[in-house]
Amino acid sequence: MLCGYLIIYTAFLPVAKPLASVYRLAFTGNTSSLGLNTDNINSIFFGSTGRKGGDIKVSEIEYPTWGDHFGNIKVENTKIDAPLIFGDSVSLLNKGACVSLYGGIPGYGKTVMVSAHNNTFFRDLQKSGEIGALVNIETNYGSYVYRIIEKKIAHREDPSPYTEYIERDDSENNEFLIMYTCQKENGISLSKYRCYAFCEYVSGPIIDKYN
Amino acid sequence: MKKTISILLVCMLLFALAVPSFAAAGINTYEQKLITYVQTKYKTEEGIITVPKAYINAAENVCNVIDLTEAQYTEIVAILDKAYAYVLENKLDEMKDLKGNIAVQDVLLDYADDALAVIGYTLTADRANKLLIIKDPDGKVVAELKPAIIVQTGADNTAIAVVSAIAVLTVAAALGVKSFRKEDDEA
Repeated sequence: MLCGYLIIYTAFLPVAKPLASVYRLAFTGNTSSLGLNTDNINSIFFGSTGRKGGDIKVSEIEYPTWGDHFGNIKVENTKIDAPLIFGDSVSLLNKGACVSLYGGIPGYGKTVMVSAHNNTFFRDLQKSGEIGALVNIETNYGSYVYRIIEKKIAHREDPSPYTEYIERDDSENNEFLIMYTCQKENGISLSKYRCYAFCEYVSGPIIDKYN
Repeated sequence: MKKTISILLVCMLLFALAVPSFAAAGINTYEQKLITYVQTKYKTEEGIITVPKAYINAAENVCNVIDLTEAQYTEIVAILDKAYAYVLENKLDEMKDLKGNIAVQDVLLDYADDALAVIGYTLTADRANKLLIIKDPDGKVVAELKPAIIVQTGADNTAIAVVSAIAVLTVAAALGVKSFRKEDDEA
């Protein structure tokens, strides 16, 4: 009988965690609209600064550090409206859309890489994030707009979709935004594939990183 | 050899620079010198190693919240040179030379840990999750270095994308970019 229980437990294990996540979404009483843990977020974002263009000296901004909530991201014609967190880890992905340390921050002239879970903050990126849709990113130092120009599905170990964007030279004309999440298959399973939305920079203050 | 060195150098740089003392945002002279040093210093028979952009980006993100002094720059370069010499001496030519070799991995981690210990920071290797976790003197996480650039964002909300070697040696795996400039091409 013990062996039988162990077999059942082992068989159930792959779906146990996703179901637990769903439970937390439905029944937790925290303040997040998605029912996620928003405790212990260090926030340096207090709403839009209203700065939408021009130049800004890096010495004038509070540069985010690991775990900081430093902005918000919205995608036109989708339900995406999420806190923007600097750094990406297991715990941070539960708090919002995460900016990778391996890219830049908006306005810095490097490709910005933002990830989020496909069952929470980026849950309709794959289906609804269309070519031409605008992405609005508010940060603690300025307001930015990007436009989706391409979408791709690729294997998680295939770097080719994003390598080209990251390896570009730093300059105002080469700032892109990459949003990505796991490809949705049956909704609760792990996927070996990633859904990418590549976006071109439209507007926002340019950071002078040497002053 | 080339990928090993580039990974090692940038990781050493990141570890040694994870010192968020109060500082105005921006990259100062010594931080830029250090980034340039890592980008262009190391030569092999096949040319000059170019570190993948993603790792330089990570270093810049860290540099923007610290103020590196000349003394720190000098000390960090000395550590990078020692680590590089170790790699050469032990002929760590390929990633497979490091995979499963805990003793070598620990030596490389010790170089990073030595640099961090000078300013009271700690480095923890989470081998189960293939992460290197850097914490400040208060225990606050200042960076989590993981093998793959692209994280796991599936519904289970748990594991980050995994590759098969320890975190410090697999940071470069996802991009897989290697580019070499022949010395003749520099002019």
